[in-house]
Amino acid sequence: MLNWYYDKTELRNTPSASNDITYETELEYRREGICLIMDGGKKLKLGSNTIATSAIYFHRFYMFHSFVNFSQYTISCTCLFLASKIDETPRRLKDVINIYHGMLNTTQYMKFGSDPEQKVITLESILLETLQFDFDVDHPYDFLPQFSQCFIAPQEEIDAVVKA
Amino acid sequence: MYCTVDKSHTSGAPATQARNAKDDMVDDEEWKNLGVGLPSGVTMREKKSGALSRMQKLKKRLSHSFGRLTVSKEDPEDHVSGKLPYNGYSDEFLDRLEPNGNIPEGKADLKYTDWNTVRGHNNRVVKRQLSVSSDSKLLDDDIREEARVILRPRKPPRPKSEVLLNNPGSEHRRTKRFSAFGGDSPFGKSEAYIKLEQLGEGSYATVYKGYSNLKNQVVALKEIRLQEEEGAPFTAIREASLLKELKHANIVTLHDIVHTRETLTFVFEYVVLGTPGEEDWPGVTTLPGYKPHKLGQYRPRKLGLYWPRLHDVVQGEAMATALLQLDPAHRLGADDAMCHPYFNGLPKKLLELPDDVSIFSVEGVHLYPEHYTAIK
Repeated sequence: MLNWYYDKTELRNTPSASNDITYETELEYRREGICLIMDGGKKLKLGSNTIATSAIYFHRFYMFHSFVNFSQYTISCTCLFLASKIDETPRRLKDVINIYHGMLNTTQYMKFGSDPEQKVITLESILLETLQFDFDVDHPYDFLPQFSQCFIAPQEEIDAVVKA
Repeated sequence: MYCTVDKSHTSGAPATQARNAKDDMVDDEEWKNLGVGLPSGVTMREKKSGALSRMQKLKKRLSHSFGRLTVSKEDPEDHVSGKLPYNGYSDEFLDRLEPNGNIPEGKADLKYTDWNTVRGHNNRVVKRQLSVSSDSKLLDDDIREEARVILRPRKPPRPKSEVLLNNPGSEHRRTKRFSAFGGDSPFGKSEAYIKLEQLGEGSYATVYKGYSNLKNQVVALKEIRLQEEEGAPFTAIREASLLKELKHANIVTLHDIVHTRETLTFVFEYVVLGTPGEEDWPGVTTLPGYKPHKLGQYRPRKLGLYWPRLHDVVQGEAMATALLQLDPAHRLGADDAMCHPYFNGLPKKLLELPDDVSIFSVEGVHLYPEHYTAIK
């Protein structure tokens, strides 16, 4: 299986960095994509697990590819679509694209091209290749409630932190 | 000696112990190459409409019309056209019938019923196809020789997708195909496999016998068509992601994944225990599906040759051979198996144990992890 753990130098030397994108800009792009995933996921009524899974796919994808070649808007849409399928809560491709159409402005939506559905399907196959069919993601969220038991603080505060 | 009790238990237990074993086909060097990027200008796949079969369409239409009927039953006043016969009308037509443009509540659930039926069906298919070839492994040398001599010269026509890609006139021919195992690796490329005759067909995939040029052995190619409007079928994706991790003697090994624009091909090990003939399976030649020319004639060889580790166990080969007889009359039953000399090394107490007592209560019985590398 692939190793999905990266150390700090690897995280600085991403494909985007070799394409003269500064670290700050890359973080900005990543943030933008993840925000779209979270908003879109909520609008599509997807579970938080699915949203977290697609966010991980998004981050992993950009450890192999540069933001120059692949727009964060299209990839975040593809990740969300793929994660919804893999977590067995499939959303129709048309619905996912419609949600993204609503969230993006016209210039951003231009990245989807003239046939958005075909674009996403093509990107999906690229995503499948990039992640090498390794789609089982273990989320740390299951352990959060356990860890919360270890802290000494008022129960309401812990609950608020865990939920956030 | 390997204790027999642990063997029976590990084979029944989930295969998680074996998951840390790496795919034997891909060495470290290739794993390092995994990150090689794709060319960015990947051209779009042709839009495929009408991918749904007639049966699926019918199913969809039925479930849609049922959902619609329940909604109209709840508040018939809202629907001007409540009395129109819904059955048999297309979705578009039904959508136009909606006077206020609202999506009825039932509609949201419809796609799930659709998905679930599709998925359930596919799962059954997957299981059946896997069980066809899941028993033992490895091909012996003379089959390999046969394959080399006979199979090589008559190269069948390449799959359609590949013909398109190899078209000399096309300018988009890329020198480096994207592959599931990275750009420079020979794996994950359809050129590495020759597709031979068809072995079986399911609702979403076709299984072919194939020949691997990389490993020089016969493999089973499960070809999944990617013509769905919703991208790659998620049953296939899940199958790939699960099987990639599962490495166990009792689970058919996924060697490779070949991803082209139109198909997704899983390369499985091809399991041979000899072609069944009249002498080891009376009446097999009269069965309607018996096509020895498709399977090829393979002589059954002793199990120990396929699986040398059987020789390490006293009576191991005899026991396995007795259990794997094609003819039920010659096959060893469970009760007879208990009396087989294979179990002679066990403490007598074990055989007289009541049903509700754990075998681990007997002294000297332990559960050993059985590693995949050890089985190989």
